[in-house]
Amino acid sequence: MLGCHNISKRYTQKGGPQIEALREVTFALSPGDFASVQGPSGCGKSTLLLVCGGLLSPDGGQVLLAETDVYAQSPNDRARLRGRHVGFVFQQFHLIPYLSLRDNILSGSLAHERGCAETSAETLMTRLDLHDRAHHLVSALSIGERQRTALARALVCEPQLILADEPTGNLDPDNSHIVLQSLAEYAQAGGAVLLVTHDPSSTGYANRHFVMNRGVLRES
Amino acid sequence: MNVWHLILKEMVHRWVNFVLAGMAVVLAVSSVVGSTLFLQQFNHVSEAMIAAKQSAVEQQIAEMEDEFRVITKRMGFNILILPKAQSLADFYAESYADETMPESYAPLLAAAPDIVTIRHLLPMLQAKVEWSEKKRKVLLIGVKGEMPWAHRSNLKPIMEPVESGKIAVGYELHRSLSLNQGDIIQVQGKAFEISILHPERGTIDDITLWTSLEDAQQMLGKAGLISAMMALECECAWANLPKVRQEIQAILPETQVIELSGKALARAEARRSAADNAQALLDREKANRMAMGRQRERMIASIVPLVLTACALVVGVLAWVNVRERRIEIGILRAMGLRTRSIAVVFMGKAALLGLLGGSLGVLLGAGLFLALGPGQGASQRLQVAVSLPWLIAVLCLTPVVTLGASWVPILWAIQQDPAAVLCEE
Repeated sequence: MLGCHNISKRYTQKGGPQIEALREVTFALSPGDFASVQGPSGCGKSTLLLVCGGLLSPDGGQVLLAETDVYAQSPNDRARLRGRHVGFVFQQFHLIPYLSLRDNILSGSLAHERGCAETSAETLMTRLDLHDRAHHLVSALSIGERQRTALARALVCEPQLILADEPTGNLDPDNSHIVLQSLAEYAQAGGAVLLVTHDPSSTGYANRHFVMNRGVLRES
Repeated sequence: MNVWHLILKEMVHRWVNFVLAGMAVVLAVSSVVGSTLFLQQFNHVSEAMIAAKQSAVEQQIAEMEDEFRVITKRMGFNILILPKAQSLADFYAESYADETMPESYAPLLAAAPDIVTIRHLLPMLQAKVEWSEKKRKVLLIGVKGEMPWAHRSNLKPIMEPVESGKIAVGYELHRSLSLNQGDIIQVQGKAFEISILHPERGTIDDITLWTSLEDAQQMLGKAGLISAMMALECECAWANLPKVRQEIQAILPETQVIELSGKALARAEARRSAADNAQALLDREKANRMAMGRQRERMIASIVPLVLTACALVVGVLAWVNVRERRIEIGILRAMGLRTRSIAVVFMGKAALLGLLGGSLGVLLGAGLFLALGPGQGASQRLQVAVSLPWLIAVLCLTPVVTLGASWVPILWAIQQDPAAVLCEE
């Protein structure tokens, strides 16, 4: 599903030292894998997620997504690949403020040529207990509802890989449970999840555990 | 869910931005539409005004020519053909010609095909005589009547011929002698019936007796001779004395030509001059209107681009604000797999919609202002002529192009956003 081979990424700041965000990172995820990545702030977790999602070119190494070399593709082909195979969940939700909850979920299907979303959106709203707020704007939703909406948007077209960046960082335990449980169920159904988190309790839902420190990833 | 759904929802959500940009477009389009309509109306009114004035001047000129013709006709003949031997000094001193020429000159001239400068040819025999029966000095004139022209249609004669045995009497003579029409009088031993009593003319005509040419020739013993031929110069602008002389003397070299009735000519000149002045005034009016039109065009040509540029800047700045506000949205859409083209469509669609709506409202506002503030008469017809379907299509197609152009830089900026950088920032 996802293969990272010796990927490295460096940030160069003007007048400052070079920061090595990823150092020769190698790992692979298969369908059914729910991988958690833990580590201190600034260790390169988010960079790893963006590189895996085809949003940030690595300085070295190779990322394979659905057996395609992600960074050998043109930006538009990469976007198409991302749209077809990857769903993102962010700590800040990044919902579209002028759309209703339902439309935000459906916006996950914008990159898809064929409509994949209507029924799936209804199912997800029921499963994530969002049905009552279907027509509410983002500003009218609670934090937990926003993150559940973001999760539903990531899942609506049933991608093969979910990349989740601190999805429970702003949530209370109940909402955290709902989100993580949903991700676990998604993995059990044959998807793959790469979860970046600070939250130790999150690891309980994962079936593979990674630790990252100073750009080095190790599976524990 | 599609891109248009996204565009419409966003427009409604950020309506202040959309309304402000829309107002700029409406202002720009209405100023273009309004100024075009006002300019067209001005040109139309100018054309109508000039046409009306042109028609008035032409009518005035025609009336003047007609008046001149009548006046000239009323004043009588103004060309006198005299025998070459006639002393002009004597003629001017005595007011008649005492030399003679053959009577056959008259039909010769009337038969000439090349004569175009004169009309109404009247041969006559003149002599100042002592009217022995009344002890008066009178001018005796024998007239034959106007010679018919051989090569052109003949006009109604100015002077009717005097029948043989009849006589026309000048004012001073019939007044002082208490003569009446129908009276039989003796002139040089010959009896005549008075057929005409002329009204006062204040000229030598007042002491003149008119008989038929034959009677006069008989009384004066000058059979087959005439002393002068009177004619009327044509009204053509190009006809002048040298031309008349040139024509007549080509046929009758033994004659000389003089011009009479200077007053008539002066009047004709005055009228021609008035007509020229009227035409010059009209030309000046035309030039003024055209200059005013050009001035308005120049003004509009300088103001409209300024308004368009200002409005395009407003649209561009508002598009920039909108794009900046939507950076996260752009990032997340890119993360969800939307290609740069699709991102561009989101913003271009909005700009095009803005142009289409603003253009439509601008056309309505411009036309409304024209109807409300423009010259009422004919404004609605003018509007119907000006706002044709192709014109409307052109405006409604061009406006979205302009709004797209104005939003182009922000759109380029939007599609070049690095989603990773945007999402990491947050």
